[in-house]
Amino acid sequence: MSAYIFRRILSTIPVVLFVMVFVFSLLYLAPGDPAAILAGDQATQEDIEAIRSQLGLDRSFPVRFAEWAGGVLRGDFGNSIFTREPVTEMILQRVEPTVSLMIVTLTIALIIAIPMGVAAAWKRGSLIDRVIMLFAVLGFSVPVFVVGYVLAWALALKLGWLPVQGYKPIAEGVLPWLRSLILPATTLSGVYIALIARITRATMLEILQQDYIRTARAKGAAGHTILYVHALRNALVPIVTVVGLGIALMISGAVVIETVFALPGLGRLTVESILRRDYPVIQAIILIFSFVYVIINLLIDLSYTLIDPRIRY
Amino acid sequence: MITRRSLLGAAAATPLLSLPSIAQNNTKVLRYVPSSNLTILDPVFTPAAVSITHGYCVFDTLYGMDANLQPVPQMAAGHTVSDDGLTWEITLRDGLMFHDGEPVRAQDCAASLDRWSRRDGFGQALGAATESFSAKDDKTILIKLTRPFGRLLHAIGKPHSSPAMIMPERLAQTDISEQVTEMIGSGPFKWVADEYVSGDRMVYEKFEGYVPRSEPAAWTSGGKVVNFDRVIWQVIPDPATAAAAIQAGEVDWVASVLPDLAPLMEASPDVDLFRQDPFGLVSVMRFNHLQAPFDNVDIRRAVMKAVNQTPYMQAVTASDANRQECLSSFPCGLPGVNELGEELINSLDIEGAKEALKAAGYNGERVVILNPTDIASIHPHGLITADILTKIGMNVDLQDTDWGTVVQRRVSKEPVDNGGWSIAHTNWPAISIDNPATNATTRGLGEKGWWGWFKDEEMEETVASWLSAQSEDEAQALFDKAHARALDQVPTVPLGQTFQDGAVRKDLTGLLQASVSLFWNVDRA
Repeated sequence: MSAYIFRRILSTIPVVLFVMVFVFSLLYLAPGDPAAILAGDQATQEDIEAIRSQLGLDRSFPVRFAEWAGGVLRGDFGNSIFTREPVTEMILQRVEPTVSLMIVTLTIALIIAIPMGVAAAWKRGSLIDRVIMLFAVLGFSVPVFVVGYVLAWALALKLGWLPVQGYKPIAEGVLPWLRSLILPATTLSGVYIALIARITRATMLEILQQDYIRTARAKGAAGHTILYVHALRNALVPIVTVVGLGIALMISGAVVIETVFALPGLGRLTVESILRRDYPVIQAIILIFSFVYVIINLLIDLSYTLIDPRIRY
Repeated sequence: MITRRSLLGAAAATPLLSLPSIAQNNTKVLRYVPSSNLTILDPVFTPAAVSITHGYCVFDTLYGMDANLQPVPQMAAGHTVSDDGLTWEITLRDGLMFHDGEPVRAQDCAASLDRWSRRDGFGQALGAATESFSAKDDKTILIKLTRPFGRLLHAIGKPHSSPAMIMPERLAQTDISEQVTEMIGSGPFKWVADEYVSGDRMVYEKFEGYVPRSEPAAWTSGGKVVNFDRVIWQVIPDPATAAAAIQAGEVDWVASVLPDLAPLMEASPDVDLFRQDPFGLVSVMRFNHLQAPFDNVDIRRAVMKAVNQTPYMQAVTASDANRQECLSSFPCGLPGVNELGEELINSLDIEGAKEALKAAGYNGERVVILNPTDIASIHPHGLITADILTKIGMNVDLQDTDWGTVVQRRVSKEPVDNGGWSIAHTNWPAISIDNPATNATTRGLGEKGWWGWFKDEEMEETVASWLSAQSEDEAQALFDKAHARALDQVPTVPLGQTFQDGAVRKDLTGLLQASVSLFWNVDRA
């Protein structure tokens, strides 16, 4: 197992190297000039050239890439072109809201979606099944920003139960932290509840037809024991796979939610940096995201061995 | 084990989450939502409005603008001018101190003026007429000119687009192509660097060492009396969320309200609309003067003949109260501006324009319009211009792209076949283009000037004469001359003046009008 983990971690190196070259090249070729944005509307060509030179943007591709890649290998992503702050510091400031949003969203999604999927499969064709599947369709179909605005209007503006926007770090207390995340996480969880509930239902339907389930029933096992002990455990592999993919997809979903609820997370930092062409920040974020994707996939693969003892690496 | 009863109990307790979770203290806090994120802290380096708002918190200026937009002493106690108009001595008032505890000295001011004069347009004009900025002693700034500069106080007291803000000498010695990132000023608020999270939160604390002037506050002048212990800026990128946040009482002041949401704000019992800048924004259509077809003045005149300002303004505002026709190359309502373009602008003469275009020798050259789709106050202008130019028979190529790309491409001097452009639109804060020297849209500096590169020696001679004018009558005559020249040469087509409202909680009092939000004089009733 440890050899497998080592091999997998080793295999991330070429992936990350490829991403480094690809992202840097793409940004080098893409239109847009941070020096022109920095200089502002009144700036003359001379002003822009002076800023470009000051920032080193007038140097050749190989020189700029070598300098950046060298920094990255030393753990230094450079400074933001705009704020002049270290990129690492900017990213660290933004990690907590995004990770918190993901954790709470996934928690809500799993708590709601798995029982929903199990119930829909157990009561296949019934009214319960149809209502749950209708909810799943809505979860996929209604844009998250619409759900967000409606929830904010009802729970924050009208009832005053929750804040409209903003993020409270967990250091200020668990309750304020949770309070600032309930609306955004509930909004974002809709699509994941739909996704996980559908997968759970489909997998459970297949498993409930298996011989060993019929045997358990014949032995007189209780309904919830059959569902949660015998069936659900065997349905977990595809569910875990979908949850893993969901975490990866959540980064893009977070962009919208972080904007609507003014959460200072990585999603917003990414969009802001792209719009103003803050190259060092964009490069660092994409590099980190690609690394996180690889690690998530590794963790999913490893989790299979825990769920299903027959799987060995 | 989770029971049904415990789950129901938890659900019932949800509203308790809305109770304040942090112990209240007596700190008086003003919560403000800026119109955009604050990324550049140096207000001299950039003309961005949000950086200037920040700048007025942290820094102070030697002169400020009063309610009539005339320069009056701010950090200065007063000044003297030599008989030949070539030597100015500005004396600092008592009690000025930087946030690091050091006294403000004339050396700091001289270095700050020197740096500012290399960046700002008005400053560059002053710099070109200046032999040196120096300190006669710790309290006296000495400015030696090579030619009279009657508008010197207007220049160093300008309220917008890179005002001449005073920094410690060691910071002011930073090259002008590099940002100053250490925020030590002598303004009424201290910058709390530790709490700065770009894109989320900026915090200012009342500077106890600040000594306000005794005069009442007006625009950027007078007594800057601070009534809050802390001012917290919270960046809320979505305008609808910002509107909901002020309605819910989570913030006190939203700098800019989306026109569509203004009626909602007006209807709210706890919120008032507040027009920060009474002069608003001026929208302009800018030609590329280096390339055909707009290197031909007759073609520029033909286009102006076809333009009507109303649809341009209607496309970016929600009501008549937020727009004003301004048939002028300078913003209407500002001192010295006469509306001289009544017969030239707004005629909407499509047939006349077609004939004028033909007579001007237009040969069907491609007209590339750069149009940013992500800037709501500019994007519709590109669409309207494309429609007008198509109607008068021009070969239009409307290129929709994002703002970052527009900003890069509009400084390209190449022909349109090689990535160049013909027309781009933008908005200027009216206050920042209020005279012949600061109005980049009419200056004729050519390739050394604003993008579009309008070159006109006669205009530049008039601007130089205006800057040197020794009497108000002479200055006004030269102002009108520069204005008439701009209307004749059409470096840009003015598209009207629009006004943006912010929103404030009704319990806020003492808000000051200016081109940016100012946090002194404001109090909670």
